[in-house]
Parts: sequence; C-alpha cells; structure tokens
Amino acid sequence: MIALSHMGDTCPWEGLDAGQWNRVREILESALGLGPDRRAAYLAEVCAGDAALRSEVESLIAASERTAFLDRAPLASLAPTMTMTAAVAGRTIGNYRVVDRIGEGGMGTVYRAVDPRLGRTVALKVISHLRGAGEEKLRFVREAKAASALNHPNIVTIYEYDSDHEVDFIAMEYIKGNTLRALLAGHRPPMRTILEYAIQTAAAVGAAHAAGIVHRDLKTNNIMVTDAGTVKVLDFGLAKQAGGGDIDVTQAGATLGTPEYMSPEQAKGEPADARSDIFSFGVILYEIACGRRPFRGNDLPSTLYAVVNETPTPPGTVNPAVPKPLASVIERCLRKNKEERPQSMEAVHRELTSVLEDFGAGAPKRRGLPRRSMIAAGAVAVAAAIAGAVWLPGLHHQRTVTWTILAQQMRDGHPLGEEYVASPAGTFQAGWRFRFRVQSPQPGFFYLIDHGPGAGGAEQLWILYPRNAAGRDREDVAASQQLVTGWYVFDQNPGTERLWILWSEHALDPIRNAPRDPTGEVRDPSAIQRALHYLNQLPPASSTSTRDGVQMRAAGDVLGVPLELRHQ
Amino acid sequence: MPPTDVTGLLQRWTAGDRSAIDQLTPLIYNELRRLAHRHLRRERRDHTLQSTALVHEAWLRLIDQKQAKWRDRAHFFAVSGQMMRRILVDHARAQQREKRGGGAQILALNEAIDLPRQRSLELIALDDALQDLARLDARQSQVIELRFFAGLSIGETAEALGISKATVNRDWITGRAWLLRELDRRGPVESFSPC
Repeated sequence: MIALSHMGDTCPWEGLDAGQWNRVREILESALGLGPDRRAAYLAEVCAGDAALRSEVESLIAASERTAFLDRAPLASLAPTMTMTAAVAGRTIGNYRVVDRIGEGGMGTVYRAVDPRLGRTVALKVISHLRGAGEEKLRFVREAKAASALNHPNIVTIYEYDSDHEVDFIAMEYIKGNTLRALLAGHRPPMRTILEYAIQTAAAVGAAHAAGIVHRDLKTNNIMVTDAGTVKVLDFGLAKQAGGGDIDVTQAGATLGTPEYMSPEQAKGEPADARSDIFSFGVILYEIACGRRPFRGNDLPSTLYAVVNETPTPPGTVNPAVPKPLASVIERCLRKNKEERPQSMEAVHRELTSVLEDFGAGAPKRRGLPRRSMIAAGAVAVAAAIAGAVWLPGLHHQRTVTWTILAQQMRDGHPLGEEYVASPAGTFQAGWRFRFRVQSPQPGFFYLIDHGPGAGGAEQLWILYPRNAAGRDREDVAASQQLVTGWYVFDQNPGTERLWILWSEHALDPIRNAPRDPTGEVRDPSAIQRALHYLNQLPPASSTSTRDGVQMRAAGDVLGVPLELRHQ
Repeated sequence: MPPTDVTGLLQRWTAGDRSAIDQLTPLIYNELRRLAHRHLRRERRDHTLQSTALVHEAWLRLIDQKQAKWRDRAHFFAVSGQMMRRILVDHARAQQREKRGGGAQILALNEAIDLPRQRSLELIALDDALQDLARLDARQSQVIELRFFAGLSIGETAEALGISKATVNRDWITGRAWLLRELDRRGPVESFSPC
C-alpha cells in the first residue's frame, strides 16, 4: 500500500516519486479493468484507510474517461483532416456515456451508449473522420436530417444530431436484434419469416420514397430485425432528399455504396433514384431465395463489372424450390435498365405480399376464408417443411470445420491457473493469452485474421495465422488433424476484436502472400481494403455450438465466419 | 534543399548539437507544407489524407537513407517522435509569443501547420507535463510522445521502444490519465503562460 496522506493539498503530485506512481498505476489499471460497477468496492479494499490514495486514483479514473485533445494527434492539423480516436467504454460524448462499440456503419462507428437524463440506451453513431466542412460532413448532416424526417415503424428513430468538440454524432434508437446479414448467415429463420422481413423492408423503403428520400445503400447489413421480429432499416447514410439540398452527392455515391448490392447505374457513377433501391432490394431478395448473392467477383472491379454487364443465374435454376412469382419479381428488380424494373417499391411490396400468401397456403386457395386465418392454419406445418433443406441450397457441397478458443489468464506476465476452453461471448482481459484449435473431417487450409478494434479510426488488419509465409505456421490441415495455433495476446485498446476464421478448400494466396510486419500487421492500405473486401463477400456460413466446439458449415469452397471477442 | 543537408543537421542534432534543430525545423516545415499541398491538389477532397503517412513521407524524402545510418526502423521512429514534438511545441510557443507582441518571427508555414490558439496552449502545457511524467516514468513519457506527437500506432510504438503492445497500451492509458489530470490541476489552459 502506498501512503499519500502526507502530501500537501495544493500540489499532491509533487511528492509522488517513481515508486509511488508505479503503485498508483497498478491500482488504476486494475480499477479500470474492473468496470464501473465493481470499482468502488475494489478501491475501498485496496485503499483502506488511505483517503488521499483513493482520491488520487479516483481523479485519474475520472480523467481517463474524458475525451480530450490528447486523442487527436496534432499532426492532424497538417491537413483538413481530423482523426478521432475510437471512443472507449466510459467516455462521454455529448450527453451520452459510451458503453461499448457495436459496429461499423456507413461512415461511422456505432456505440451503445446511455443517455443519463432519461436512463435510455441509445445507439450513437460517431463519424470517424471529419473533414471540416467537407463533403463527408455535409453528407453526415444530411443523413441525420433525412432519416429524422422519416417516421415509420420500420425505420430506425433518430433522437438527435449534435457534435461534441468537433466530433459529430447521431443518437438513435438502440435496436436489440440482428442484422439480416447475420440472420441469413447463422441459424437461418424459416423462409416464410424471412419473406416477412423483406416485406417490412419494402414497406420502409417505400415510405421513404414517398417522402422523396432514396436510401442508396440498401443491403442486408443495414436491415436490422429486432428480437420481436420487427424490421428496422438503418443508415440512410447516402440518402439524398430529392429536390432539396445544396450539394450534389450523386458523384461520390458511386464509390460509397456496397458493390454487391449496388445498382448498375450507381456502379457507372450515374445518378441514383428510387429504382436503384429497387435493384438493391432485388439483390437482397435473390440472396434470401438462393442463399448467395447474384453478383460476385474476386475483387471490386470484377464485382462492378458483373453488376453492370452480367445477367445472374435465374433464381429458379440456383434453387428450384423458389416459387415462380418470387423468381419473377427478383428477375425484374435486377434488370439492368431501370425503366424495365418495377417502377415503385409499393408495387414490389404488393407482389411480395401475394407471394407470401400463396406460399403460406401451400395449396389452391380456398375461397371464403379470411386470408389471414388461412395463412395461420397452414403456416406452421409448411414453414417447418420449407425451413429445411429445400430452401438451403448447395447442401451437397457443404464443408464443416470445428474450432475452439483456448484461453489462459495471465497476471504480471505469468500464467494464472490452467488453460481453459473459453466462450467466444465472454469478456477477456488485456494481457490474457488465447489460441485456436481447429479440426475438420475434410482436409483444408486455415486462416485467422484480426480486423482489430481500429483505434484511431484507421482500418487495421493483422494476419494472425499463418504468421508469415516462410514461418513455422502451416495453414494446410489434413483430414481430422487437430491444428493448434500459437498464442495471441489481447493488447489493444479495450474494445471488441473482430476476427475472421477462414477454412478453405485451397490455399488462399492473397492472404498467405500479403505483405506484413513481424507482428502480422498488414500496413498497405490497399492490401487491407482488398482483404476486407474479400472477407465481406464470402457467402454466409452457419455456426452451431457442439460438445467439441463451434461447428461452422457452409456451401462453397471457402468458409468464413466473423467473430467478435470483447476484451477490457 | 539537397537531402544531405538535412541528414547532416539531423546527425549533428542527435549527437547533441542543439543549434542544429533551429536550422532543421524550417526545412522540415517546408517539406511538410509542400507535400500537404501536393496531396490536397492531387487527392479528391473526400479522400482521407493520412497525416502520419505524410510525415513519414517527408522524412523519407528529406533524409538520405544511406547516410542517415538509422540503427533500425525503431530508431527512425524514435527520432521522428522527438522531432515532431520539438517542431510542434516550438511552433506553438512561437505563435503564442507573436500573439503577445513578442519579437520572435513566426515561421512562414501557417498554411501547413496552423494550430488553433487553444491547441497551441494545450501543446505547450502538455510538453511541460510530459517532462514531469518523464521523471516518474521515462518510458511512459516516450510512449505518449510517440503515440501523440509522431502519430504512431500501438504496434509501431511497441516496435520503436522494443516493448510489447500490451505494455504500450497500459502505458498509454495510465499516462494519458495522469497527464489529463495534471493539466486540470495546473489550471485552465487559457491562462497558461508559456516560459
């Protein structure tokens, strides 16, 4: 224990020597690692009887939780670019207290935060790079204005748009649920349920169109489904209020959308309108019906080429179980010429509603019964049948791999206790070590990529496995062989580490050969972009917990699942 | 300016010749300004301009790599961190002196490094507090210097100092807390009077 009570009140730090600071640091680190709720008890115990020590540590904790000028490198003043550090838990932005990071959206990082005035949990979207009065800022403001003008049960509610020390943010409804992308990749809900989500999405986008707002970046990642089954469309990030506005964001829109869901006109850099959203919606419907996206290239140019020039394989060919009327809507939404697509979202909504009704009935319509009760009667049995293999295409090509995280708690650089099988959902402490164990009935190649918590706003990427091309790590794994990786350490800022587990039928040269430093960090921004692009276009895989670990399965030759590990 | 001049000055400075920095600073300023302008002309306005990359680029262009004899990449980072601290803090002090009507000339690079008044006061206060932190824990103060002034990532800082990333992270979190708390205790930055 350290005695600080002898210090004068005016300048208590002046008496602090290196040894005392070392002790204060230790307590501070432990207290920060504990989380706010358990801190008081810890401090009471460790500082028992030493009020000065306790107030010293408490003032440091308070300081650590503020956003401050220290978080922005002064070099940012060199150019009209300001980099904001990733907000970390406990910091305050505006009137909101950040709890944790929940994801990345168009242009910004999204945090879960609490509004202490109302005791309400909100989603806080903070823009990561502010360019003064640049286009991006204008677009960001526009997003807030466009989206907050919309009032629809299937569109996320915006509470406020504000800025705090040049950090712009939007506070919006916090949605407990999953993205449609995650739902399609995981335990896939019954087809009927997914079609209902699609219908709600069509209603939301239709309402926005009626208000003169085009979404421009519709994709499975910004369609959220609450735990109660209500769709919430997010991220009117590229929205343009038709007729209004003082800048033209059309030009930049071409490079900002997500290529797989982008309309041909956007891919060519031409103006987008409501019918561009209809195309993107068609891509989503295709993915729902066929289990894969219609346009896929190995890189950005080839994906864009496919969007502009290639006709996708008809949905009925990919999956013969797709009802004809659904296949027809999808094909018409995906016409290259926007004049040939359905001309309104409302029309698409109507067609889908009728597909759902026929689908639910499963038999010739019986006249005289109210449709709703008819659907309810047949739905359970039909949904159960449909949810099985019929709607999950490509099962015969399925690959399976089982993985486990082995963790080791550490204290002062020494192992504490035994290595244990860790739940990916748990929270790890900085300094703890972990490694992966993988096994598959088929031979394959294993890769582990860390997308990091992205401190400082920049994209960061590490190839954790294999550590380098010439090293000892071998990514090829024989059938039923158990591969155990080397140890990794949680050592970034507290946050959520985004890992990708990849299991491939063949060696993935772009990953194996990516230039990187000895820590595995890929520094070349274009290599990072290529890698992220590759990861994001992987077909969805499903994961299930088994006695031996997490089993992931998917059709296709490369299987990849994103994994988020929280650490403090 | 031929690169060798900068290299020579840098060698003199790292060897302890304090006058070298006075000649070195404007050279580096000018290069930074030139590069910043070039990037702004060439890049689209909505394109991120990485200031750290810019600084590294300036260094690489200015300094004759064969002559500079960096011991290693780590040494390069460490020197670049110290340099950037000196450059920015000196610049901030000069700005403050000028605002108070002092005779010191501001270097002609406001276009490139235009620090808002609040920012320059913060930098000066931080520089002083960092010196005190160095007395408590020299490594911790270096971590802050590299992260904040040189804009290095956690990984680069770890490499430059030959310590683990976990240590860098811990040093950063607690050092940052200490500095912010110190700056609070020393009073509002607005009333801070340099020197």
